[in-house]
Amino acid sequence: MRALVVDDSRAMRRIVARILTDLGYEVAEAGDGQQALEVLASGAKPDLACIDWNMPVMDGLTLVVKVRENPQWRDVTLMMVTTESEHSQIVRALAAGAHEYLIKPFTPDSLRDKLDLLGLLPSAVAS
Amino acid sequence: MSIAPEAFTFVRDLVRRESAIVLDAGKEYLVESRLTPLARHAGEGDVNAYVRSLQVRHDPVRSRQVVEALTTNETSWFRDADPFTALRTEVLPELAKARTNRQLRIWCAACSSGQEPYSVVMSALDTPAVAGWKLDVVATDLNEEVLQRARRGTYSQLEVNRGLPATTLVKHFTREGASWRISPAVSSAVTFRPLNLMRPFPPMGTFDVVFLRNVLIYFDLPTKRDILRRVRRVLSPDGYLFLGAAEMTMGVDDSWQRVPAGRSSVYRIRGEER
Amino acid sequence: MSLLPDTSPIDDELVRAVVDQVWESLLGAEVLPWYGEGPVAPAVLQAEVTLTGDWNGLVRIGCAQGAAEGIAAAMLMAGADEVLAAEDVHDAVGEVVNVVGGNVKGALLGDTALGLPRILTGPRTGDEVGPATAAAEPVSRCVLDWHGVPVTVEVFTRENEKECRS
Repeated sequence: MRALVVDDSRAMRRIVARILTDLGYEVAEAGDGQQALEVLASGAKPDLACIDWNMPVMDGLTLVVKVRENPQWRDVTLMMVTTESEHSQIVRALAAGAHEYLIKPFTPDSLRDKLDLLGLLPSAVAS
Repeated sequence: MSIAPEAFTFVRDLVRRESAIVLDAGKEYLVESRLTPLARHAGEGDVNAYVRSLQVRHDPVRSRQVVEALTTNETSWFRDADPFTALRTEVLPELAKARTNRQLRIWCAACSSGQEPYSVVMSALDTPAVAGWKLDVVATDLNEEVLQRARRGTYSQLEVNRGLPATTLVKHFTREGASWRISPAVSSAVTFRPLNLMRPFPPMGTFDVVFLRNVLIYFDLPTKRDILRRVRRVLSPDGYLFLGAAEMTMGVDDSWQRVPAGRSSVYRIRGEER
Repeated sequence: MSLLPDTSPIDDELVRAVVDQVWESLLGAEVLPWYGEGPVAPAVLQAEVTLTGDWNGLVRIGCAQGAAEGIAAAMLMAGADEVLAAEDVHDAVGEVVNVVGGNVKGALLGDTALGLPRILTGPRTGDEVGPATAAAEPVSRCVLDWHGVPVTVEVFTRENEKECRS
């Protein structure tokens, strides 16, 4: 299974990528929404995209909207992974088309829980 | 008291083997705090003695408890997911057909800080067959401190990240400072009270569903039997019992019948025993 | 239009609650308060993030270079012999302030936006916002002990900032 991690913080990309790799994912990275679109357009379609909200060039919410606008990317699951934690922000993200929402700070277990909810836990690892 | 290096190493290796989770150096305080209650419960003097007992003689139950205690950061919402789906899609609709008074009583017998009973209510609120029904959830635990927490109904950012779908979070919770608070629609359906499973139950009436998940593992076989027997007495003849994912009544109490429910299983009182 | 009461909703209790969660999960570390005597020296490295909107201000984490490296190493679960580049250290501490700032913001009423984190290093010249400027009193301040080195977490309101800048 493939994942795309989108975050302007290299440290956060590294953390999320490691959790996903440990779960059996092949992980690609992007530093902002624009780069993410380029990665999506150029390579194999990921099953999952973990998307930060606040990024330069193009933020995560805009990325979510653009991905959902494209029928080719219809079955990419979009999970926001962000420090934006107001009730209204979560509602906005879900309304824009995000499938799930993980608030920072999070633990590897909670990311795993979310993937389980989404049915995206590679079966070798699922308990 | 601080945990001895050899004890920490042993626990770290055990946890890594069992759950692929690595406890880095620096997590000694975590191991100490999580294992102290287990050590006390087991009657061992301290964590070092407790871990030594594991090293001396392989004890699968104790080992499992250690791994669980160290790999569950916060109690999860909708723990293991499938039982709550089964509740929504099979158990509650079945009960709805059999109850004319539009009332349901559910007992969460090891409710800890409240995630389980609140999850039960959220599942019920999501079940059309029981929409508008009176829901009476009794949630009990031995520990008065966790009950206070549970009654408050507020949870940290980290706690709401565990097992709660985002749509459910925004539907049933509001922000309160750095925390999240469960909505009154959910909390009003739950009553928290202290209860020691090893002692006679106070009068509580009869229940349609009992959740007794991941708590029997702490007891020896005769006590497990006794608890299951007394639970049977407070369950409706056509009621349902949920145990933890890896638990079963087989070999403990054969008055129960295991029945598939969705992707999970549930226990009902055998016909002859009703 | 501000929906906020006159008294700042940001207090030490809130910031401490946020820091507790961030430290525990992101850094896998316990929060230990700083009990050192005397004033804390101006930090060599500062990571800050601005809040703009119904509430205006700044969240800042300040520490010595060594503590920053330690925090980055904890966050990235770096091996004992792994040497992190300055870029990675700045990025990691920037992300820590991003998460702390975001969670402080999340407790506020109204609409407030979080900026992108920025890192300041080296001595202050006095025309930037800096702890050496005596006029700037934070609305919340906590000093933590990171392996024997103080780490300050401060929240300033925009009024303070104007004070410092003049």
